Amino acid sequence: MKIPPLIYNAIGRFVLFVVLETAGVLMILNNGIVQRYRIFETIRSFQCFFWERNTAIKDYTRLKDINASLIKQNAFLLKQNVLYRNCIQNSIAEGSFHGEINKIDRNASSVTDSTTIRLDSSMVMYDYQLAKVIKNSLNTEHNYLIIDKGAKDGMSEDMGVITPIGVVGITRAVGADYTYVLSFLNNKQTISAKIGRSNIFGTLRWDHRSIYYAQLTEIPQHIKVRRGDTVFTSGYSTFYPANIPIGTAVSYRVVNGTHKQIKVRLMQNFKDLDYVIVVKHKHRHQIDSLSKFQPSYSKR
Amino acid sequence: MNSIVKYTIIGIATLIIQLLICEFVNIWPPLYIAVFPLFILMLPNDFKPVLLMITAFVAGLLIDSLSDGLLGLNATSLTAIAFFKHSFIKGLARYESGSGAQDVNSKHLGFQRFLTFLLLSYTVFFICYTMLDDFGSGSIVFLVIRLLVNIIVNIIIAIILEKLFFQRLMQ
Repeated sequence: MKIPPLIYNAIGRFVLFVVLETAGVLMILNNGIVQRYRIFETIRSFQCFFWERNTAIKDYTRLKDINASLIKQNAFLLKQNVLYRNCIQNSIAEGSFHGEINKIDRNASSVTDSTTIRLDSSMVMYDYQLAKVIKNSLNTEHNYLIIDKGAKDGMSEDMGVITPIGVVGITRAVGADYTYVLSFLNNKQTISAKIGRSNIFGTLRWDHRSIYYAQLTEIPQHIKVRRGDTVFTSGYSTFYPANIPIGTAVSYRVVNGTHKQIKVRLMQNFKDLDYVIVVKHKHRHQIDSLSKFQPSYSKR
Repeated sequence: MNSIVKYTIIGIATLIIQLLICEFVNIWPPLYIAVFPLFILMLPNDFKPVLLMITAFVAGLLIDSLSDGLLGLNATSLTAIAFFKHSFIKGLARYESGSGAQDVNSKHLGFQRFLTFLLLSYTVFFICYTMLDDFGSGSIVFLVIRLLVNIIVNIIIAIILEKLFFQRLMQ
């Protein structure tokens, strides 16, 4: 198709006009400070507008990552909390606690107080590692989870698996990249737990009927239990640190006239398990070997 | 005298006058007395638009570089009126081909049409000029006042110059 000369000339003129105007404006921008400042300010404001929208979209799509990051932070805080608690308890036991702990280092390897407390890394009993739940079974008597951390990540058998608001299970089989976790929602699982802040502990097990409830048994009759009392881990095992909230007391009944059985509503909804924290007791082997120790008495 | 030489001489003379005005006439800083656009506007209508735009651009660059102005300011504004000149003329008057009446002045166009032509052209010129000079640093009210003052003052000067000199010289 042949372009008519009139249109051809008009396009030519317009192109030349645009070229000359652009050249003129570029010269102005190169030589005028105010003009350069204003044009770059305008461009920057446009950029900021798009960056802001872009970030909003990215943030929305990254909600899972942000959540993971928050869980990671939470794990770190949990670690610090344990560190402080151990530190204070130890100091109280020694009678050397005179004031607040002033300083805790970043990698939590040691805690120092300018006045009285000095603890080395051996006091930090637990290591925490974040893991993502790949599979979570809920509908059987023997529920389990698969997490995305394995031997390569330092996983081993018999490590506790928790969340900030509950106990999830114990690692049972470890592959190179994944680990099989025996869920708390399993008839073989029991946890040493205590009611309220008292040191009265009992055995907590899943009630086999609902994923939201468990039973705390072997609580002495004289212990007062109120609805809403929190159930915590006792810390009398190498699987879980002490004082992790597990659930709240709903009701109780006396079994065989000897002890109370408390119905506990679990805080952690097992349907919402995305990320978990794997707990490693640093001195587990030492404690286990001591537990197996059989004293021998020589005859005299 | 060859018309090209004649227009070149008139153009150079106008350029010198423009430079002298830029150098010595300072009535009010935002007021810019522009006489060179009149030369561009009064060049005969058969002057090729492409050539007119290039002439306007080069002359504008000369004014910018030889005066203490911002390089590119006059070049951009003069190129704009050179681009729109033919469209304005076309809209205001119809030249018959081969009539030889290609001159752009008040005599050929009629005063009213010529005035409208000046008004449109100077408006384009000063919109470019003030916008690029201010670049959003001043208030809109000031920009409008500056624009109006410049257009009115320069049209009055253009009419006087056209009557006194350009009408005779450019024929």
